Amino acid sequence: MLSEKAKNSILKLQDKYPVKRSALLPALHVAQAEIGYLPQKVQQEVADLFDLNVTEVHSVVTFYDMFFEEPTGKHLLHVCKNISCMLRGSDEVIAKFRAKLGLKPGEKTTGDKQFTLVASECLAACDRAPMMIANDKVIGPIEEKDIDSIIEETKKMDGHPCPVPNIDIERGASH
Amino acid sequence: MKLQIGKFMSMLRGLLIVLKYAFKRPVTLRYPEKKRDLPERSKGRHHLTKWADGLERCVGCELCAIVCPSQAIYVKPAENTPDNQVSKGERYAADYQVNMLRCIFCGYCEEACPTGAVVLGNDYELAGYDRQSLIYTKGMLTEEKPGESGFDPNREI
Amino acid sequence: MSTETKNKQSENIKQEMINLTIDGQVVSTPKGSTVYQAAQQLGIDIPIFCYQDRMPALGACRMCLVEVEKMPKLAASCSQGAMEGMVVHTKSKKAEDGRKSIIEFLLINHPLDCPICDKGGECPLQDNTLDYGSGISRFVEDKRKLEKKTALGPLLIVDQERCIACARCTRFGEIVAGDDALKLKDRGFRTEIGTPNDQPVESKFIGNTIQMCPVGALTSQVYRFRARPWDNDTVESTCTLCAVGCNMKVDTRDNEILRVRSVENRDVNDIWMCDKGFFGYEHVNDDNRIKTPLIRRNGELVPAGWEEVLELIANKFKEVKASPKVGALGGSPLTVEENYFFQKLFREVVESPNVDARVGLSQQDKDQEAIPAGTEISLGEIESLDNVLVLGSDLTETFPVIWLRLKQGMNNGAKVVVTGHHQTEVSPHSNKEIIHAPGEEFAVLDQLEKEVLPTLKGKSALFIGEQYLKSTSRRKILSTLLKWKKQNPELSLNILEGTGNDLGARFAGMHPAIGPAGSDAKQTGLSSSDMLIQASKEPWDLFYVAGANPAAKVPAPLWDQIREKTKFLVVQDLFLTKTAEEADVVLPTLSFIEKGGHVINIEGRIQEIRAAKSAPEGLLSDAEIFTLIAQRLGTTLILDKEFSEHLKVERLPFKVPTQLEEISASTQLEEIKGEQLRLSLSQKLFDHGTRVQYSPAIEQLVKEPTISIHPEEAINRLLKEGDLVVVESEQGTLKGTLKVTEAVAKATVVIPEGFPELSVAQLGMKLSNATAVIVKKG
Repeated sequence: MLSEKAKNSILKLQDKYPVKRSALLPALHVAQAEIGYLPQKVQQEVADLFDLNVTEVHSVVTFYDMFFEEPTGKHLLHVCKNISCMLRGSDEVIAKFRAKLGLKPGEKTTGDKQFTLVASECLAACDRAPMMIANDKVIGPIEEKDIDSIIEETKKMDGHPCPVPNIDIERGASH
Repeated sequence: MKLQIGKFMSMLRGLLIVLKYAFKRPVTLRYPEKKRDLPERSKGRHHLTKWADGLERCVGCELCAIVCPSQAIYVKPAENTPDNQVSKGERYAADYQVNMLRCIFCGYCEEACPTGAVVLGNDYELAGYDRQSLIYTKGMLTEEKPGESGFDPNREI
Repeated sequence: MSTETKNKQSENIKQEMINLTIDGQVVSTPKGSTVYQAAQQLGIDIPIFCYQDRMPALGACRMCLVEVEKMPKLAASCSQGAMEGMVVHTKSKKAEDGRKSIIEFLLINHPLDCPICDKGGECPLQDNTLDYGSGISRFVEDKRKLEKKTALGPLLIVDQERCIACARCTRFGEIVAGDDALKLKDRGFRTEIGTPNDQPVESKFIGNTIQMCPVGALTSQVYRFRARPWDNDTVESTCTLCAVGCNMKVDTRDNEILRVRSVENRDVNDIWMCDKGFFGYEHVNDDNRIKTPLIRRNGELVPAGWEEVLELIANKFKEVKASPKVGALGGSPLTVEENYFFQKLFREVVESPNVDARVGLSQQDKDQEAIPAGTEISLGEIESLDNVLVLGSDLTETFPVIWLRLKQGMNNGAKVVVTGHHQTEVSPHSNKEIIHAPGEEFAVLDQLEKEVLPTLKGKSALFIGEQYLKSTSRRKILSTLLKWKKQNPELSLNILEGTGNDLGARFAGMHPAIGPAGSDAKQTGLSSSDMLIQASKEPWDLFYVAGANPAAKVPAPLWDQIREKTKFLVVQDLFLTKTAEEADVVLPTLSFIEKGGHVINIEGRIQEIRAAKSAPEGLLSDAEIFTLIAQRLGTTLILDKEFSEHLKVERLPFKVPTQLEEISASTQLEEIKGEQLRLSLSQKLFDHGTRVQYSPAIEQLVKEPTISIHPEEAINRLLKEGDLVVVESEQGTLKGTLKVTEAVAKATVVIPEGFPELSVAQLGMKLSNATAVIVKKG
């Protein structure tokens, strides 16, 4: 399912590292940027490019919150749930988001496929706790009254191609 | 002389005791016509009990078998299937035997049982003409209807 | 990489010792060892879950916490390096409290369903909770609810609730087996072990993870709810399902085999075994085993008494005594003693020199063979090698545990070069790989001689496998390797071929040219293929087949001729094989788990097998049958004292000549014409051999056999994956499904042996690698 272009870009990425396995994370970003998520077949393709067992790729994909095995909504909302944010009320923020978006327990994506909400591991902006990333925009500290406007603002955005911004399939991941 | 009197007196005392008990009610019973009422918690023959919903309590964990000091219990577990759900959970005892000749009625099995499946009832009339008949099989031990053996099927463990 | 450098370091400072105090006792330990290892030296018990001494420490479970003076927090002793002057307390209040909390934390999400858990009674979590836990839990909330039983393939069941995420199993797949069969999924408290979408595990070693799991998360489907450890009678024995000879424990209950576990032997299998060893015993319990002797009456095989059949066989033996048209075939599944009786019965009682344990493909005479199977180094030494060349051997399929030991060697820094006709499971781990067509061996050896041989430093080993050995140029290849050995004295030669007790059968003298204990046979007999070819042409008096299935090893039309021309056929086996179905007399016999004796593994190690259960009623062992027949002919078969003395050594010496002389008549490789490809025969661990066929669990692991070619060859022939194709050789044809894969060399067709549905024997009697064949649409 991956295009030749993406495959080539992954192979180029592998050259940048002394051990090619190290390129797995950026490679998965490249794959996700193209497909939008990482179904089993794509994981297998990536695994083949790395001569890895698909179990290992699957392990990496499930570990990180920024990889998705299921199709996501147009917009991605990562709300941090780790300790700094949690102490400053991320649980309430997440609950409010769920209520506003009308997500049933266990659901991640809204019925109209507009939003995917992820209670995420640390997003590395503890100074702005409780914080979140809407598509690629860092927002924080969030107060409960801001939630409506955050949702409205996000709706105006283009949506996420992939959680990593500015990915360049030609050159591989930007960083 | 004194000694002989003493001997005679003690004999007389003994006869008096015999005489006294000759008019008392005997402590023994006319078994088997009459049977003794046992305390509720006396230990006799084993029962394998069921839950109120009819499922067997025994999960075939074999703790009774390992705790038994006289190695009288044999358990062979098997797996429950959707068509053959014998007990709660995944495992049940496909075979359960107690060798009554070996059992010393210590009640350790009852104490070890994590589900309260095996209990010692009050039935003490355990005799037979051959050894084979005294190996109680699962069919003999398991109560047919929940509570039949006199133990509350709703009791907690 | 990191383990490599670590090992280099530990080598440099091996001799340096440091002193530390543990619980008031002073211990001196090599620098680089951990506090846990130092405590082990003193015999101090520290509880562990994730630590496994065959793998580097991880420190995931924190069970091994100890107090180290001047350290602010408790340290995980498995990963804490021992340092000079360190003062460690393992039994202080602080350490014990720490461990108590760890147990409490681990049990928070553990279901405590010990009564229904198969691990109960032999569970480290139970034991450590009893020894180091607090006894009560302060956790009153609901425990997590997860999938109770997920079957990952036919062997393994995962209970996610019980898993404590110690990562032993996933690290086994990563570090020891190299197959990454199981992986941790998700993160944090949601961590689970498994495979993507719970698909079956792809591994040949999953039994080891069942044995290693410190809780009841990974359990065996075969042993599921069969018994508790205290029910089992355990007998230590040796696995004879391949030529590695892993040491094993057989657990039986009520005279039924319930499971097999591995036994530690650093020299052979370390603590590992393959799934064939773990679950391949099941055929012993199978109901299809022959239960009484059978005799052919009016064209039907009907049950008969032992007296009758033995008398019949004895009378036949009297009739055919000293006839040149008598042959004894088979012996690989038999013990050394039984093979000795077998050949003695024929050589001395029947007076026939035609005995051969090698039934099947490419039997070379002693000159062609040049050097028989065997290894110079012991299997334990593989872990300390610096360089390994694996030439044409599919290690995971033929000698699975040797691969595990080699992988440990690679973890210790060994460099591995692999050559062969197709890629194997070893390929992704190798440092260099050359895939080439059969027949190009010398070009490859030349290349290696120039590129690799000069770089070999330290202890090096050559493992040469059946792809190179089952070749007409075997002698020439071995002679080249001996030249390498001359250049590099630290290079050892290891010839990996054969299965079961092949070496034992040979040592006992079941070989047309070799007598017992390697002596020359007094009279050289015919090899099994020569016997069979002769029997197909002219009347043959008698074949006695024990533990072999020649009917499946020769082309079907040829077998029909053989059977027609053979006046009397006796088969001795566990199951009614194709040969047995056509026999005049069938004798049931015992499996390796029901009898005692000795077997010899690939390194020439003489190991004992012991009866783990009593023999089924009315069955006799092979040895008993041979003795009873001999008795009826007035001879008593006994194990000569001289021969049994030979069995007292630990390992038979493996003699490698310094050089091999050229034989003038060395065969030339036939030319490839037009569309022809070269044949390469491959082996599979899970094939459709008799023993696997009747072992239900591993039978499910057997993959459909295919005829494999390279995509380019497929395009040239207008073939595609899944096509029904016909392979034609000069002597026969074979139909099968095509697999198109880049794993196979160009100009090559790879066909597996050991599948009746794709019987490569149909291609001819004296097949070898590099035989020219044509592949076309069927």
